[in-house]
Amino acid sequence: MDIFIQQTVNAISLGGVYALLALGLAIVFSIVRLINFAHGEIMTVGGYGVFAAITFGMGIPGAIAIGIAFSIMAAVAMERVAFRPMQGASIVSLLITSFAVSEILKVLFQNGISARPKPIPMPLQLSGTWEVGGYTVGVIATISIVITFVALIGLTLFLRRTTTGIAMRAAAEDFAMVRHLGLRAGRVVAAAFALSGLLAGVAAIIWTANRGSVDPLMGFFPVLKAFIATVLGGLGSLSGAVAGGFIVGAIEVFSQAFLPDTLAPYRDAIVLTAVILILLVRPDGLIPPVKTDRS
Amino acid sequence: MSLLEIEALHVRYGPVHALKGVDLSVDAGTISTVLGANGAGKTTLLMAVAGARRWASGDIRFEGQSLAKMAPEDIVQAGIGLCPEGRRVFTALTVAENLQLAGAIQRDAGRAKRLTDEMYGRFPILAERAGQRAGLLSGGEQQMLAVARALMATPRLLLMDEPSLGLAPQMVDTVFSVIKTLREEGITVLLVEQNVPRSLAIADHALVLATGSTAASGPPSSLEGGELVRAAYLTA
Ligand SMILES: Nc1ncnc2c1ncn2[C@@H]1O[C@H](COP(=O)(O)OP(=O)(O)OP(=O)(O)O)[C@@H](O)[C@H]1O
Ligand SMILES: [Mg+2]
Repeated sequence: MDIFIQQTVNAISLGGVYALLALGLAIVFSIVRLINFAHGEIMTVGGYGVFAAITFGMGIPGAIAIGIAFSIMAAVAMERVAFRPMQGASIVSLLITSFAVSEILKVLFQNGISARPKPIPMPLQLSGTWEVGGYTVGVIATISIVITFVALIGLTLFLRRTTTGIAMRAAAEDFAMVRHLGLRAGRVVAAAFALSGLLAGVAAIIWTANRGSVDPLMGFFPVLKAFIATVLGGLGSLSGAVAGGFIVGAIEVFSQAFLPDTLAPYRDAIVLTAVILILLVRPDGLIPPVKTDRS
Repeated sequence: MSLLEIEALHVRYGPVHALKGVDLSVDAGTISTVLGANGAGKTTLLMAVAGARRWASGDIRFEGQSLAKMAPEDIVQAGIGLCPEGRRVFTALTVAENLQLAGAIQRDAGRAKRLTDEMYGRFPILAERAGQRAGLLSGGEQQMLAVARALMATPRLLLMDEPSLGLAPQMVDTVFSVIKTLREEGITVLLVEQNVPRSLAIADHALVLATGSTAASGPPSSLEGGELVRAAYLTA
Protein backbone atom coordinates (compact mmCIF):
# COMPACT_ATOMS: atom_id res chain seq x y z
CA MET A 1 0.00 0.00 0.00
CA ASP A 2 2.78 2.36 1.01
CA ILE A 3 4.52 1.86 -2.30
CA PHE A 4 1.27 2.47 -4.14
CA ILE A 5 0.74 5.78 -2.31
CA GLN A 6 4.33 6.82 -3.01
CA GLN A 7 3.98 6.01 -6.68
CA THR A 8 0.69 7.90 -6.83
CA VAL A 9 2.44 10.94 -5.37
CA ASN A 10 5.19 10.54 -7.96
CA ALA A 11 2.62 10.16 -10.73
CA ILE A 12 0.79 13.34 -9.73
CA SER A 13 4.04 15.21 -9.35
CA LEU A 14 5.35 14.15 -12.77
CA GLY A 15 1.93 14.53 -14.38
CA GLY A 16 1.78 18.04 -12.94
CA VAL A 17 4.95 19.03 -14.78
CA TYR A 18 3.56 17.61 -18.01
CA ALA A 19 0.28 19.42 -17.35
CA LEU A 20 2.06 22.77 -16.87
CA LEU A 21 4.04 22.31 -20.08
CA ALA A 22 1.03 21.03 -22.01
CA LEU A 23 -0.95 24.06 -20.84
CA GLY A 24 1.69 26.41 -22.22
CA LEU A 25 1.63 24.60 -25.55
CA ALA A 26 -2.17 24.63 -25.60
CA ILE A 27 -2.48 28.33 -24.73
CA VAL A 28 -0.15 29.35 -27.54
CA PHE A 29 -1.68 26.89 -30.01
CA SER A 30 -5.23 27.93 -29.22
CA ILE A 31 -4.46 31.56 -30.04
CA VAL A 32 -1.64 31.57 -32.60
CA ARG A 33 -2.17 28.11 -34.17
CA LEU A 34 1.51 27.48 -33.51
CA ILE A 35 2.74 24.13 -32.25
CA ASN A 36 5.78 25.51 -30.48
CA PHE A 37 8.48 22.88 -30.70
CA ALA A 38 10.87 25.24 -28.91
CA HIS A 39 8.74 25.22 -25.76
CA GLY A 40 11.23 22.79 -24.22
CA GLU A 41 14.02 25.34 -24.61
CA ILE A 42 11.90 27.93 -22.80
CA MET A 43 11.88 25.48 -19.91
CA THR A 44 15.63 24.87 -20.24
CA VAL A 45 16.31 28.61 -20.04
CA GLY A 46 14.36 28.61 -16.78
CA GLY A 47 16.54 25.75 -15.57
CA TYR A 48 19.68 27.78 -16.30
CA GLY A 49 18.07 30.67 -14.45
CA VAL A 50 17.70 28.46 -11.39
CA PHE A 51 21.32 27.34 -11.80
CA ALA A 52 22.57 30.92 -12.04
CA ALA A 53 20.57 32.08 -9.05
CA ILE A 54 21.76 29.21 -6.84
CA THR A 55 25.37 29.60 -8.05
CA PHE A 56 25.29 33.29 -7.17
CA GLY A 57 23.93 32.40 -3.74
CA MET A 58 20.48 33.88 -4.14
CA GLY A 59 18.75 31.05 -2.27
CA ILE A 60 15.55 29.21 -3.07
CA PRO A 61 13.17 32.20 -3.36
CA GLY A 62 15.67 33.94 -5.63
CA ALA A 63 16.03 30.79 -7.73
CA ILE A 64 12.27 30.51 -8.13
CA ALA A 65 11.93 34.17 -9.14
CA ILE A 66 14.88 34.11 -11.55
CA GLY A 67 13.91 30.76 -13.08
CA ILE A 68 10.39 31.94 -13.84
CA ALA A 69 11.58 35.36 -15.04
CA PHE A 70 14.09 33.74 -17.43
CA SER A 71 11.42 31.49 -18.92
CA ILE A 72 8.97 34.35 -19.38
CA MET A 73 11.63 36.49 -21.06
CA ALA A 74 12.66 33.59 -23.30
CA ALA A 75 9.06 33.01 -24.39
CA VAL A 76 8.33 36.68 -25.05
CA ALA A 77 11.63 37.17 -26.91
CA MET A 78 10.97 34.08 -29.00
CA GLU A 79 7.61 35.47 -30.07
CA ARG A 80 9.08 38.84 -31.00
CA VAL A 81 12.13 37.59 -32.83
CA ALA A 82 11.01 34.35 -34.44
CA PHE A 83 7.24 34.15 -34.68
CA ARG A 84 5.94 37.70 -35.07
CA PRO A 85 7.74 38.18 -38.41
CA MET A 86 6.02 34.96 -39.57
CA GLN A 87 2.52 36.34 -39.00
CA GLY A 88 -0.02 34.77 -41.30
CA ALA A 89 2.27 31.88 -42.22
CA SER A 90 0.88 28.36 -42.46
CA ILE A 91 0.80 26.04 -39.51
CA VAL A 92 3.57 23.96 -41.13
CA SER A 93 5.91 26.93 -41.69
CA LEU A 94 5.38 27.95 -38.09
CA LEU A 95 6.14 24.44 -36.88
CA ILE A 96 9.35 24.33 -38.92
CA THR A 97 10.35 27.76 -37.60
CA SER A 98 9.89 26.50 -34.07
CA PHE A 99 12.05 23.45 -34.88
CA ALA A 100 14.79 25.78 -36.05
CA VAL A 101 14.51 27.94 -32.94
CA SER A 102 14.71 24.83 -30.79
CA GLU A 103 17.84 23.58 -32.56
CA ILE A 104 19.56 26.97 -32.46
CA LEU A 105 18.92 27.33 -28.74
CA LYS A 106 20.19 23.83 -27.99
CA VAL A 107 23.42 24.57 -29.86
CA LEU A 108 23.75 27.87 -27.99
CA PHE A 109 23.36 26.09 -24.65
CA GLN A 110 25.88 23.41 -25.64
CA ASN A 111 28.52 25.82 -26.90
CA GLY A 112 27.78 28.84 -24.76
CA ILE A 113 27.27 27.06 -21.44
CA SER A 114 28.16 23.38 -21.54
CA ALA A 115 27.03 20.18 -23.20
CA ARG A 116 27.31 18.45 -19.82
CA PRO A 117 24.79 18.75 -16.99
CA LYS A 118 25.40 21.60 -14.58
CA PRO A 119 24.76 20.39 -11.03
CA ILE A 120 22.45 22.51 -8.91
CA PRO A 121 23.13 21.93 -5.22
CA MET A 122 19.80 21.53 -3.45
CA PRO A 123 19.39 22.04 0.28
CA LEU A 124 19.54 18.66 2.02
CA GLN A 125 16.17 18.87 3.70
CA LEU A 126 14.52 18.94 0.25
CA SER A 127 15.92 15.65 -0.96
CA GLY A 128 14.54 13.49 1.88
CA THR A 129 11.12 12.09 2.70
CA TRP A 130 8.49 13.03 5.23
CA GLU A 131 5.33 11.61 6.70
CA VAL A 132 2.04 12.83 5.30
CA GLY A 133 -1.08 11.25 6.83
CA GLY A 134 0.92 8.25 7.99
CA TYR A 135 2.61 7.64 4.64
CA THR A 136 6.22 8.26 3.74
CA VAL A 137 6.49 10.41 0.64
CA GLY A 138 9.22 12.45 -1.04
CA VAL A 139 9.55 16.06 0.09
CA ILE A 140 10.20 17.41 -3.40
CA ALA A 141 7.39 15.36 -4.92
CA THR A 142 4.93 16.75 -2.37
CA ILE A 143 6.11 20.32 -2.80
CA SER A 144 5.94 19.87 -6.58
CA ILE A 145 2.30 18.88 -6.31
CA VAL A 146 1.51 21.89 -4.14
CA ILE A 147 3.30 24.26 -6.54
CA THR A 148 1.54 22.71 -9.54
CA PHE A 149 -1.88 23.12 -8.00
CA VAL A 150 -1.17 26.67 -6.90
CA ALA A 151 -0.15 27.42 -10.50
CA LEU A 152 -3.25 25.73 -11.90
CA ILE A 153 -5.55 27.62 -9.54
CA GLY A 154 -3.74 30.88 -10.27
CA LEU A 155 -4.09 30.27 -14.00
CA THR A 156 -7.79 29.53 -13.67
CA LEU A 157 -8.35 32.73 -11.69
CA PHE A 158 -6.33 34.70 -14.22
CA LEU A 159 -8.31 33.32 -17.16
CA ARG A 160 -11.66 33.94 -15.44
CA ARG A 161 -11.14 37.18 -13.58
CA THR A 162 -8.84 39.40 -15.62
CA THR A 163 -9.68 41.08 -18.89
CA THR A 164 -6.46 39.77 -20.43
CA GLY A 165 -7.43 36.27 -19.37
CA ILE A 166 -10.91 36.64 -20.83
CA ALA A 167 -9.38 38.04 -24.03
CA MET A 168 -7.18 34.97 -24.31
CA ARG A 169 -10.15 32.62 -23.95
CA ALA A 170 -12.07 34.67 -26.51
CA ALA A 171 -9.10 34.70 -28.89
CA ALA A 172 -8.92 30.91 -28.72
CA GLU A 173 -12.46 30.83 -30.08
CA ASP A 174 -12.33 33.69 -32.63
CA PHE A 175 -9.19 35.83 -32.66
CA ALA A 176 -10.34 38.12 -35.48
CA MET A 177 -13.46 39.05 -33.54
CA VAL A 178 -11.37 40.03 -30.52
CA ARG A 179 -9.61 42.54 -32.76
CA HIS A 180 -12.98 43.86 -33.97
CA LEU A 181 -13.68 44.77 -30.34
CA GLY A 182 -10.66 47.05 -30.38
CA LEU A 183 -8.23 44.84 -28.44
CA ARG A 184 -4.64 44.83 -29.69
CA ALA A 185 -3.80 41.52 -31.37
CA GLY A 186 -0.11 41.87 -30.53
CA ARG A 187 -0.81 42.24 -26.84
CA VAL A 188 -3.01 39.18 -26.67
CA VAL A 189 -0.33 37.12 -28.44
CA ALA A 190 2.44 38.49 -26.21
CA ALA A 191 0.36 37.70 -23.14
CA ALA A 192 -0.18 34.14 -24.36
CA PHE A 193 3.56 33.63 -24.80
CA ALA A 194 4.36 35.23 -21.44
CA LEU A 195 1.87 32.94 -19.76
CA SER A 196 3.27 29.87 -21.50
CA GLY A 197 6.73 31.00 -20.36
CA LEU A 198 5.56 31.42 -16.80
CA LEU A 199 4.13 27.89 -16.74
CA ALA A 200 7.32 26.49 -18.32
CA GLY A 201 9.32 28.35 -15.66
CA VAL A 202 7.32 26.71 -12.88
CA ALA A 203 7.88 23.36 -14.59
CA ALA A 204 11.61 24.13 -14.82
CA ILE A 205 11.79 24.79 -11.09
CA ILE A 206 10.06 21.53 -10.21
CA TRP A 207 12.17 19.62 -12.73
CA THR A 208 15.52 21.00 -11.58
CA ALA A 209 14.55 20.44 -7.93
CA ASN A 210 13.87 16.79 -8.75
CA ARG A 211 16.94 16.22 -10.92
CA GLY A 212 19.44 18.47 -9.21
CA SER A 213 20.99 19.50 -12.51
CA VAL A 214 20.35 21.31 -15.77
CA ASP A 215 21.60 20.42 -19.26
CA PRO A 216 20.89 21.60 -22.82
CA LEU A 217 18.31 18.85 -23.40
CA MET A 218 16.56 19.31 -20.08
CA GLY A 219 13.33 20.63 -21.54
CA PHE A 220 13.27 18.48 -24.63
CA PHE A 221 12.01 15.18 -23.22
CA PRO A 222 9.33 16.46 -20.84
CA VAL A 223 7.97 18.70 -23.58
CA LEU A 224 7.79 15.69 -25.89
CA LYS A 225 5.53 14.09 -23.29
CA ALA A 226 3.60 17.34 -22.99
CA PHE A 227 2.97 17.25 -26.75
CA ILE A 228 1.49 13.81 -26.36
CA ALA A 229 -0.60 15.16 -23.49
CA THR A 230 -2.00 18.06 -25.56
CA VAL A 231 -2.94 15.76 -28.43
CA LEU A 232 -4.49 13.32 -26.00
CA GLY A 233 -6.47 16.07 -24.29
CA GLY A 234 -7.55 17.73 -27.54
CA LEU A 235 -5.15 20.11 -29.29
CA GLY A 236 -5.78 23.65 -28.07
CA SER A 237 -7.98 22.64 -25.16
CA LEU A 238 -6.73 23.83 -21.77
CA SER A 239 -8.63 21.43 -19.55
CA GLY A 240 -7.69 18.72 -22.04
CA ALA A 241 -3.99 19.61 -21.66
CA VAL A 242 -4.19 19.27 -17.88
CA ALA A 243 -6.07 15.97 -18.07
CA GLY A 244 -3.65 14.71 -20.73
CA GLY A 245 -0.63 15.73 -18.65
CA PHE A 246 -1.77 13.84 -15.59
CA ILE A 247 -2.75 10.77 -17.62
CA VAL A 248 0.61 10.61 -19.40
CA GLY A 249 2.40 11.09 -16.06
CA ALA A 250 0.37 8.35 -14.43
CA ILE A 251 0.89 5.85 -17.26
CA GLU A 252 4.61 6.56 -17.21
CA VAL A 253 5.10 6.22 -13.45
CA PHE A 254 2.87 3.20 -12.96
CA SER A 255 4.24 1.31 -15.95
CA GLN A 256 7.73 1.92 -14.60
CA ALA A 257 6.83 0.88 -11.08
CA PHE A 258 4.64 -2.13 -11.63
CA LEU A 259 5.64 -3.66 -14.96
CA PRO A 260 8.28 -6.42 -14.98
CA ASP A 261 11.84 -5.24 -15.65
CA THR A 262 11.91 -7.00 -19.01
CA LEU A 263 9.33 -4.51 -20.28
CA ALA A 264 11.23 -1.46 -19.01
CA PRO A 265 12.78 -0.56 -22.40
CA TYR A 266 9.27 -0.37 -23.85
CA ARG A 267 7.99 2.15 -21.35
CA ASP A 268 7.58 5.02 -23.81
CA ALA A 269 6.10 2.65 -26.36
CA ILE A 270 3.55 1.62 -23.75
CA VAL A 271 2.67 5.27 -23.04
CA LEU A 272 2.24 5.95 -26.74
CA THR A 273 0.20 2.81 -27.31
CA ALA A 274 -2.15 3.79 -24.50
CA VAL A 275 -2.49 7.26 -26.00
CA ILE A 276 -3.16 5.89 -29.49
CA LEU A 277 -5.83 3.58 -28.08
CA ILE A 278 -7.57 6.50 -26.39
CA LEU A 279 -7.34 8.57 -29.60
CA LEU A 280 -8.87 5.73 -31.61
CA VAL A 281 -11.97 6.08 -29.48
CA ARG A 282 -11.84 9.89 -29.27
CA PRO A 283 -9.99 11.23 -32.34
CA ASP A 284 -10.41 14.90 -31.29
CA GLY A 285 -8.94 14.18 -27.89
CA LEU A 286 -10.58 13.79 -24.51
CA ILE A 287 -11.85 17.39 -24.20
CA PRO A 288 -11.85 19.09 -27.64
CA PRO A 289 -11.67 22.92 -27.63
CA VAL A 290 -14.36 25.36 -28.73
CA LYS A 291 -13.16 26.91 -31.97
CA THR A 292 -14.83 28.82 -34.75
CA ASP A 293 -12.67 28.49 -37.83
CA ARG A 294 -12.54 31.53 -40.08
CA SER A 295 -10.40 32.56 -43.00
CA MET B 1 -18.72 65.78 -45.80
CA SER B 2 -20.36 62.43 -45.08
CA LEU B 3 -19.43 60.37 -42.03
CA LEU B 4 -18.33 57.43 -44.18
CA GLU B 5 -17.24 57.67 -47.78
CA ILE B 6 -16.59 54.65 -49.94
CA GLU B 7 -15.02 55.51 -53.25
CA ALA B 8 -14.56 53.27 -56.31
CA LEU B 9 -13.83 50.30 -54.09
CA HIS B 10 -12.39 47.15 -55.65
CA VAL B 11 -11.86 44.00 -53.56
CA ARG B 12 -10.49 40.72 -54.86
CA TYR B 13 -10.13 37.27 -53.36
CA GLY B 14 -7.49 35.88 -55.66
CA PRO B 15 -9.29 35.40 -58.97
CA VAL B 16 -12.69 36.40 -57.52
CA HIS B 17 -13.46 40.07 -58.16
CA ALA B 18 -15.87 40.55 -55.26
CA LEU B 19 -16.37 44.34 -55.45
CA LYS B 20 -16.02 46.17 -58.76
CA GLY B 21 -15.91 49.87 -58.07
CA VAL B 22 -18.54 50.50 -55.40
CA ASP B 23 -19.36 54.05 -54.20
CA LEU B 24 -21.35 54.92 -51.10
CA SER B 25 -21.72 57.98 -48.87
CA VAL B 26 -23.22 57.46 -45.45
CA ASP B 27 -24.43 60.65 -43.74
CA ALA B 28 -24.23 61.00 -39.98
CA GLY B 29 -27.41 60.07 -38.13
CA THR B 30 -28.86 57.95 -40.94
CA ILE B 31 -29.52 54.32 -41.67
CA SER B 32 -28.03 53.06 -44.93
CA THR B 33 -28.89 49.61 -46.12
CA VAL B 34 -26.97 47.37 -48.48
CA LEU B 35 -29.08 44.83 -50.38
CA GLY B 36 -28.31 42.16 -52.93
CA ALA B 37 -28.38 38.45 -53.66
CA ASN B 38 -26.18 35.87 -51.99
CA GLY B 39 -22.60 36.44 -53.02
CA ALA B 40 -23.27 39.99 -54.24
CA GLY B 41 -20.48 41.34 -52.04
CA LYS B 42 -22.39 42.84 -49.11
CA THR B 43 -20.31 41.22 -46.39
CA THR B 44 -17.14 41.99 -48.30
CA LEU B 45 -18.07 45.68 -48.32
CA LEU B 46 -18.82 45.73 -44.60
CA MET B 47 -15.70 43.80 -43.66
CA ALA B 48 -13.58 46.14 -45.78
CA VAL B 49 -14.88 49.03 -43.66
CA ALA B 50 -14.15 47.00 -40.51
CA GLY B 51 -10.53 46.48 -41.61
CA ALA B 52 -10.78 42.74 -42.16
CA ARG B 53 -10.41 42.98 -45.95
CA ARG B 54 -7.73 44.89 -47.83
CA TRP B 55 -8.90 46.53 -51.02
CA ALA B 56 -7.14 46.50 -54.37
CA SER B 57 -8.00 50.10 -55.25
CA GLY B 58 -10.33 52.89 -54.24
CA ASP B 59 -10.64 54.19 -50.70
CA ILE B 60 -12.76 54.23 -47.57
CA ARG B 61 -12.75 57.36 -45.42
CA PHE B 62 -14.29 57.78 -41.99
CA GLU B 63 -14.67 61.36 -40.76
CA GLY B 64 -12.35 62.33 -43.58
CA GLN B 65 -9.59 59.93 -42.57
CA SER B 66 -8.60 57.02 -44.84
CA LEU B 67 -8.97 53.57 -43.31
CA ALA B 68 -6.57 52.05 -45.83
CA LYS B 69 -3.67 51.52 -43.44
CA MET B 70 -5.64 50.93 -40.28
CA ALA B 71 -5.83 47.59 -38.44
CA PRO B 72 -9.23 46.33 -37.27
CA GLU B 73 -8.50 47.43 -33.69
CA ASP B 74 -7.61 50.98 -34.82
CA ILE B 75 -10.86 51.19 -36.75
CA VAL B 76 -12.83 50.32 -33.61
CA GLN B 77 -10.84 52.97 -31.72
CA ALA B 78 -11.73 55.45 -34.46
CA GLY B 79 -15.43 54.91 -33.73
CA ILE B 80 -16.72 52.08 -35.94
CA GLY B 81 -18.42 49.13 -34.27
CA LEU B 82 -19.14 45.75 -35.86
CA CYS B 83 -22.05 43.40 -35.45
CA PRO B 84 -20.82 40.70 -37.82
CA GLU B 85 -22.46 38.11 -40.03
CA GLY B 86 -23.27 35.05 -37.93
CA ARG B 87 -23.11 37.17 -34.72
CA ARG B 88 -19.80 35.65 -33.59
CA VAL B 89 -20.44 36.02 -29.88
CA PHE B 90 -17.86 34.17 -27.80
CA THR B 91 -19.82 31.06 -26.97
CA ALA B 92 -17.42 29.76 -24.33
CA LEU B 93 -17.61 33.05 -22.41
CA THR B 94 -20.52 34.17 -20.26
CA VAL B 95 -22.73 37.04 -21.37
CA ALA B 96 -21.09 39.24 -18.73
CA GLU B 97 -17.61 38.27 -19.93
CA ASN B 98 -18.52 39.07 -23.53
CA LEU B 99 -19.51 42.57 -22.41
CA GLN B 100 -16.54 42.97 -20.07
CA LEU B 101 -14.19 42.17 -22.93
CA ALA B 102 -15.92 44.65 -25.23
CA GLY B 103 -15.73 47.29 -22.49
CA ALA B 104 -11.96 46.92 -22.24
CA ILE B 105 -11.61 49.52 -24.98
CA GLN B 106 -12.93 52.16 -22.57
CA ARG B 107 -9.96 53.63 -20.71
CA ASP B 108 -12.12 54.48 -17.75
CA ALA B 109 -13.38 51.43 -15.81
CA GLY B 110 -16.28 53.42 -14.33
CA ARG B 111 -17.43 54.24 -17.82
CA ALA B 112 -17.30 50.58 -18.87
CA LYS B 113 -19.39 49.70 -15.82
CA ARG B 114 -21.97 52.37 -16.66
CA LEU B 115 -22.14 51.16 -20.25
CA THR B 116 -22.65 47.57 -19.09
CA ASP B 117 -25.55 48.66 -16.87
CA GLU B 118 -26.95 50.62 -19.79
CA MET B 119 -26.82 47.48 -21.98
CA TYR B 120 -28.56 45.44 -19.31
CA GLY B 121 -31.24 48.16 -19.15
CA ARG B 122 -31.60 48.17 -22.92
CA PHE B 123 -31.67 44.37 -23.21
CA PRO B 124 -33.07 43.02 -19.90
CA ILE B 125 -32.74 39.44 -21.15
CA LEU B 126 -28.95 39.87 -21.10
CA ALA B 127 -29.09 40.90 -17.45
CA GLU B 128 -31.10 37.77 -16.70
CA ARG B 129 -28.58 35.62 -18.54
CA ALA B 130 -25.45 37.49 -17.41
CA GLY B 131 -23.82 34.45 -15.81
CA GLN B 132 -24.69 32.03 -18.58
CA ARG B 133 -22.42 30.96 -21.39
CA ALA B 134 -23.31 32.86 -24.55
CA GLY B 135 -23.40 29.58 -26.46
CA LEU B 136 -26.53 28.65 -24.53
CA LEU B 137 -28.48 31.73 -25.65
CA SER B 138 -31.11 31.58 -28.39
CA GLY B 139 -30.28 33.10 -31.77
CA GLY B 140 -32.20 36.27 -30.95
CA GLU B 141 -30.53 36.63 -27.57
CA GLN B 142 -27.13 36.14 -29.19
CA GLN B 143 -28.01 38.91 -31.64
CA MET B 144 -28.88 41.24 -28.74
CA LEU B 145 -25.55 40.35 -27.19
CA ALA B 146 -23.73 41.02 -30.45
CA VAL B 147 -25.36 44.46 -30.65
CA ALA B 148 -24.66 45.24 -26.99
CA ARG B 149 -21.08 44.09 -27.41
CA ALA B 150 -20.58 46.41 -30.38
CA LEU B 151 -22.18 49.32 -28.49
CA MET B 152 -19.75 48.92 -25.56
CA ALA B 153 -17.18 50.70 -27.72
CA THR B 154 -19.59 53.68 -28.04
CA PRO B 155 -19.26 53.71 -31.85
CA ARG B 156 -20.46 56.59 -34.01
CA LEU B 157 -20.96 54.19 -36.91
CA LEU B 158 -22.35 50.70 -36.41
CA LEU B 159 -21.88 48.04 -39.09
CA MET B 160 -24.56 45.34 -38.98
CA ASP B 161 -24.51 42.24 -41.18
CA GLU B 162 -27.84 40.41 -41.52
CA PRO B 163 -28.88 40.92 -37.89
CA SER B 164 -32.38 39.50 -38.47
CA LEU B 165 -31.24 36.34 -40.27
CA GLY B 166 -32.78 33.17 -38.90
CA LEU B 167 -34.71 34.89 -36.11
CA ALA B 168 -38.32 34.32 -35.04
CA PRO B 169 -40.74 37.02 -36.38
CA GLN B 170 -41.06 38.65 -32.98
CA MET B 171 -37.30 38.87 -32.66
CA VAL B 172 -37.08 40.37 -36.14
CA ASP B 173 -39.42 43.14 -34.94
CA THR B 174 -37.18 43.72 -31.93
CA VAL B 175 -34.06 43.93 -34.08
CA PHE B 176 -35.54 46.50 -36.43
CA SER B 177 -36.89 48.60 -33.58
CA VAL B 178 -33.45 48.51 -31.93
CA ILE B 179 -31.90 49.78 -35.16
CA LYS B 180 -34.37 52.67 -35.30
CA THR B 181 -33.67 53.52 -31.67
CA LEU B 182 -29.96 53.65 -32.40
CA ARG B 183 -30.55 56.22 -35.13
CA GLU B 184 -32.64 58.31 -32.72
CA GLU B 185 -29.65 58.22 -30.36
CA GLY B 186 -27.47 59.60 -33.11
CA ILE B 187 -25.66 56.39 -34.03
CA THR B 188 -25.23 55.99 -37.77
CA VAL B 189 -26.02 52.50 -39.05
CA LEU B 190 -24.76 50.68 -42.13
CA LEU B 191 -27.08 47.71 -42.42
CA VAL B 192 -26.73 44.65 -44.64
CA GLU B 193 -30.02 42.78 -44.82
CA GLN B 194 -31.88 40.03 -46.66
CA ASN B 195 -35.20 41.33 -45.34
CA VAL B 196 -35.69 43.85 -48.16
CA PRO B 197 -39.08 45.37 -47.27
CA ARG B 198 -38.22 45.82 -43.60
CA SER B 199 -34.88 47.45 -44.26
CA LEU B 200 -36.20 49.71 -47.01
CA ALA B 201 -38.94 50.79 -44.58
CA ILE B 202 -36.44 52.13 -42.04
CA ALA B 203 -33.54 53.14 -44.28
CA ASP B 204 -32.65 56.66 -45.40
CA HIS B 205 -30.46 55.35 -48.19
CA ALA B 206 -30.24 52.03 -50.02
CA LEU B 207 -27.45 50.49 -52.07
CA VAL B 208 -28.31 47.46 -54.20
CA LEU B 209 -25.35 45.31 -55.20
CA ALA B 210 -25.37 42.77 -58.01
CA THR B 211 -22.28 40.56 -58.36
CA GLY B 212 -20.02 43.22 -56.94
CA SER B 213 -21.36 46.20 -58.86
CA THR B 214 -23.86 48.89 -57.94
CA ALA B 215 -27.31 48.03 -59.36
CA ALA B 216 -29.06 50.94 -57.68
CA SER B 217 -28.28 53.57 -55.08
CA GLY B 218 -30.45 56.28 -53.52
CA PRO B 219 -33.22 56.95 -51.02
CA PRO B 220 -35.67 54.01 -50.86
CA SER B 221 -38.43 56.18 -52.38
CA SER B 222 -36.26 56.85 -55.43
CA LEU B 223 -35.69 53.19 -56.16
CA GLU B 224 -38.00 52.26 -59.02
CA GLY B 225 -40.59 49.56 -58.45
CA GLY B 226 -38.77 47.34 -60.90
CA GLU B 227 -35.50 47.66 -59.08
CA LEU B 228 -37.22 46.99 -55.80
CA VAL B 229 -38.79 43.85 -57.19
CA ARG B 230 -35.50 42.83 -58.63
CA ALA B 231 -33.71 43.40 -55.36
CA ALA B 232 -36.40 41.47 -53.54
CA TYR B 233 -36.32 38.71 -56.10
CA LEU B 234 -32.56 38.40 -56.02
CA THR B 235 -32.46 38.14 -52.27
CA ALA B 236 -35.47 35.82 -51.95
N1 LIG C 1 -12.73 34.44 -48.03
C1 LIG C 1 -13.12 34.38 -49.31
N2 LIG C 1 -12.34 33.78 -50.22
C2 LIG C 1 -12.71 33.71 -51.52
N3 LIG C 1 -13.86 34.22 -52.01
C3 LIG C 1 -14.67 34.83 -51.13
C4 LIG C 1 -14.35 34.94 -49.76
N4 LIG C 1 -15.35 35.59 -49.13
C5 LIG C 1 -16.25 35.87 -50.09
N5 LIG C 1 -15.85 35.43 -51.28
C6 LIG C 1 -16.56 35.58 -52.57
O1 LIG C 1 -16.80 36.96 -52.77
C7 LIG C 1 -18.10 37.18 -53.27
C8 LIG C 1 -18.87 38.10 -52.33
O2 LIG C 1 -19.08 37.41 -51.09
P1 LIG C 1 -19.82 38.11 -49.86
O3 LIG C 1 -19.67 37.20 -48.69
O4 LIG C 1 -19.33 39.49 -49.71
O5 LIG C 1 -21.31 38.12 -50.33
P2 LIG C 1 -22.64 38.52 -49.56
O6 LIG C 1 -23.33 39.49 -50.41
O7 LIG C 1 -22.34 38.90 -48.18
O8 LIG C 1 -23.46 37.14 -49.58
P3 LIG C 1 -24.47 36.51 -48.49
O9 LIG C 1 -25.80 37.13 -48.75
O10 LIG C 1 -24.46 35.05 -48.86
O11 LIG C 1 -23.93 36.77 -47.15
C9 LIG C 1 -18.72 35.81 -53.43
O12 LIG C 1 -18.53 35.42 -54.77
C10 LIG C 1 -17.93 34.93 -52.51
O13 LIG C 1 -17.90 33.62 -53.00
MG1 LIG D 1 -22.86 38.13 -46.35
